[in-house]
Amino acid sequence: MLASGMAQAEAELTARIEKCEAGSPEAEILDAHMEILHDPCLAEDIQARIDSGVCCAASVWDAYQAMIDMLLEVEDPVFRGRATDMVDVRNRLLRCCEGLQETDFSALREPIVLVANELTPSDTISLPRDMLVAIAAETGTNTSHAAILARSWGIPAVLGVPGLVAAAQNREGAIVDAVDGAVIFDPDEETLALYAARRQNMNAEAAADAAAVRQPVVTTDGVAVATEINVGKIEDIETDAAGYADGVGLFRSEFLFMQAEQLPDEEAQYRAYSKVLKAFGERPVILRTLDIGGDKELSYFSLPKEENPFLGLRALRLCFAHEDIFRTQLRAACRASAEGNLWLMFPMVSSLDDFRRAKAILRDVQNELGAEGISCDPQMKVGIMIETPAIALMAEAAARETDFASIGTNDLCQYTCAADRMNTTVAPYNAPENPGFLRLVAQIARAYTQEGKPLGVCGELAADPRLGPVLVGMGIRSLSVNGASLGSVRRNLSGKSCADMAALSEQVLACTTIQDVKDILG
Amino acid sequence: MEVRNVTIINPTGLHARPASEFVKKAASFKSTVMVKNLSTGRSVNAKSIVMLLTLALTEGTEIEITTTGADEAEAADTLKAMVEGGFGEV
Repeated sequence: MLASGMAQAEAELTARIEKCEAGSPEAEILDAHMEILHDPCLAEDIQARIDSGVCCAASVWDAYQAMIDMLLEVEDPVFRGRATDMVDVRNRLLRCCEGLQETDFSALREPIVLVANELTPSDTISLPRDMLVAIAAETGTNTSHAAILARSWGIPAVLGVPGLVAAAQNREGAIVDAVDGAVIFDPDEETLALYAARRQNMNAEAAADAAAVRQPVVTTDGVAVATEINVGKIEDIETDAAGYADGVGLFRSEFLFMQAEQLPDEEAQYRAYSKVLKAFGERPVILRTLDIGGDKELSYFSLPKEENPFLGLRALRLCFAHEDIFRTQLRAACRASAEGNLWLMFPMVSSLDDFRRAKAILRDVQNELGAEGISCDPQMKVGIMIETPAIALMAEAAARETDFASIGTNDLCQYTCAADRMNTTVAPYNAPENPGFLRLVAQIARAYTQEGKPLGVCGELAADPRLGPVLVGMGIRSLSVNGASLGSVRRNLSGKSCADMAALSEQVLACTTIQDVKDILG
Repeated sequence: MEVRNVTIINPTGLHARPASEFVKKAASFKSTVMVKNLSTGRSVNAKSIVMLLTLALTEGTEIEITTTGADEAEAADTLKAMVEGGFGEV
């Protein structure tokens, strides 16, 4: 077991070293790991422990721990820091001794269908785009991060299927049918042919969507609807959709934080924000300030464990608790505002007190920058993301105080319906067709329309082919969707008349049950 | 048995790349090679990167290299020269 573990660990390290540029810091670290793995003193100690009758895993653990303890006693921090490398090598070796495979997705060499128990946001971020054909996971729902990312990459994903991992053992291949939510292992010839035909059909649709990406939305009765994209990665601004979208309705600034190994400093943030702003020129870019907590964690910033993280210290609340992090981001955003058309949006606002407090900090930062002689856009619009029922019910007052708002339908729906969107068993309750939720959205739309302030929707609902038109019918004139959905959304809306959509929305808002809404939408 | 005393002169000490080069060179000899940190008196097998790191050999530390075996003289001289050369850092 030790011999095969050593061989596997060595093979893994060799493969990773070969992928690195020679002399790069990563290559040096991996070389050091290889040396630790083959260290003669460690090998001798492990063998002696095994010979004395201790099991392989315990021997590896204890031998490494003895060395790690010795290193941790060293005063010089540089030498002491090497204990981390030893922990890393030990974990690799222990895993290899168990015969388990590495979950380092960047090591993938050929395209795969990924079958997993659970995919965390950090897992999904490390996934190489070109190696992934489809995702299937036991947990997660339509609005979990794995789903959102899969959609933005345009690959199929089926989530929330218990027993998948066991079913996937020793299979040769799989069809992931994201239309009907099915995973078919080792399909026969007939099934393959059927799916090949379906895929061809979908590809034809996709081609029509791709063409529609270039056409801004004007309804058949001449109403313009801004269709923007959500940006979660710098690569998102290099797509065709980014070139033709009416702007960025949601720039998820936290992705910069989630990809990093430590808190990105002001310069790094400024560079990233400027890059996005420059790419969009005159078109508006709505930057949402740091939204972590809930299901989004940072590896280097430990958040306290909470019973209900979605109801906990997340987003703006977390920024208030760590004002230094918030100020750094605001400085970077204000500086970048000179480079384009930046709109600043605060997430997870539950009362106008939150908005006033955030705005006071923003003013302070702006004054600070002014005193330093740094130019920023004095006209920068400042608004809120509406995702709590409490602020939604205050929409009239919010519409007066804020420059704009965007409805985060994923969270507003789960909070309004009191159904955790990460919990598969309550997925039917987290229904955007819930008439209570739809009335709340309509109330927000009325308030902002009356004040003449811009209002958008940046949640998953904006891209829903049945409910998207209902939103437009309510008076919402800006929908922000994932780049991959822009074409289909534009095609869908351009084929409809605004009057029809308004009539549809009235019909929907008159419904009393979820089923009624579903029946109307078909 | 051959013994050589030498002082670490490269700024980062016997850490990372220099340590790795030193261990690789030590391992290329048949002789056993021991390194002693003369300020603490601790002595370890120089063919083990992990043990060498526990000595925390920073710049200015004086060490004693002891070699025993068929190629002991060559080993002692080569390793001493390596440390004196500062691993290309000075």
